[in-house]
Amino acid sequence: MKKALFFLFFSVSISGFSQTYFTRTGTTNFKASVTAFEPVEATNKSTTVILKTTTGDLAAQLFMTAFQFRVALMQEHFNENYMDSNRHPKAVFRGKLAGFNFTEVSIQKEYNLSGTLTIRGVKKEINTTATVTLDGDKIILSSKFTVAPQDFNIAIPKIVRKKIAENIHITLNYELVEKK
Amino acid sequence: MKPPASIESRQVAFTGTAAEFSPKVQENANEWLNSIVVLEGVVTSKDENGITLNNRIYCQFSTRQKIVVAEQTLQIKGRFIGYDDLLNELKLDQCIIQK
Repeated sequence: MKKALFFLFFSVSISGFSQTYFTRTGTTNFKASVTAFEPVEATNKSTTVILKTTTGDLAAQLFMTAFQFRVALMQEHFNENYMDSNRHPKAVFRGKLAGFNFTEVSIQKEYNLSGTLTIRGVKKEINTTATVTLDGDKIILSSKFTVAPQDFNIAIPKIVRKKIAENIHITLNYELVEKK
Repeated sequence: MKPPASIESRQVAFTGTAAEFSPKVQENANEWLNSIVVLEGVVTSKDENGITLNNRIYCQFSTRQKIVVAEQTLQIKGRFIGYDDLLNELKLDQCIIQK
């Protein structure tokens, strides 16, 4: 009986741990550059990401003001004119890695990633693929997808329209560690 | 084409303890966005890229910092970037250890 209880306790505690992997400092990059003009791109190295390894549920959140541009004026315009970062400080993604199974990820595996991206309070469905790589005790999740400014009701003034790409490429690279 | 201002060159909006700062920001986080703050608090955890003060404020370093030990009291300068409701904590970036 004692032995059975021990095994019960043991298996419950195993399934109770290792369920959540996370980072506070994930890298999210966007590129909206047009050839021959000043590159329009920025990197956010403060993205919070939480992955439930039992279900594949993924939640990510970043602050608009934490996007670093090379040019101060561009960063200012991004926050003030386009993203309205004071009213909508965050971008949020909630989704799922379809069929994610932690025990199946040996070194690297590709999954379909789908979910809802909310920017400026406007929701858009995202469907893409994500690569999940095991690196020691880390899970590295990388993915890319494309959005358009009008998906989030962002109006680009005529005067700069030629300098900002119609399709904005977003790339993610998140190194997750176990949340204890 | 000027790069964005470094936090050293920007004006400090708040100086005080981490314990004082948390409730202030909780009232209206948006008001403090992008503000430079100087906070004193106790290091409750650390990772590769930063430290947590008072179990509540995550401070991300822009460059690797000298070794920080848990339970140490530090004063840091950084930029407030927002309230992270996934982890229920306040977040600063570009942090520098002052003392």
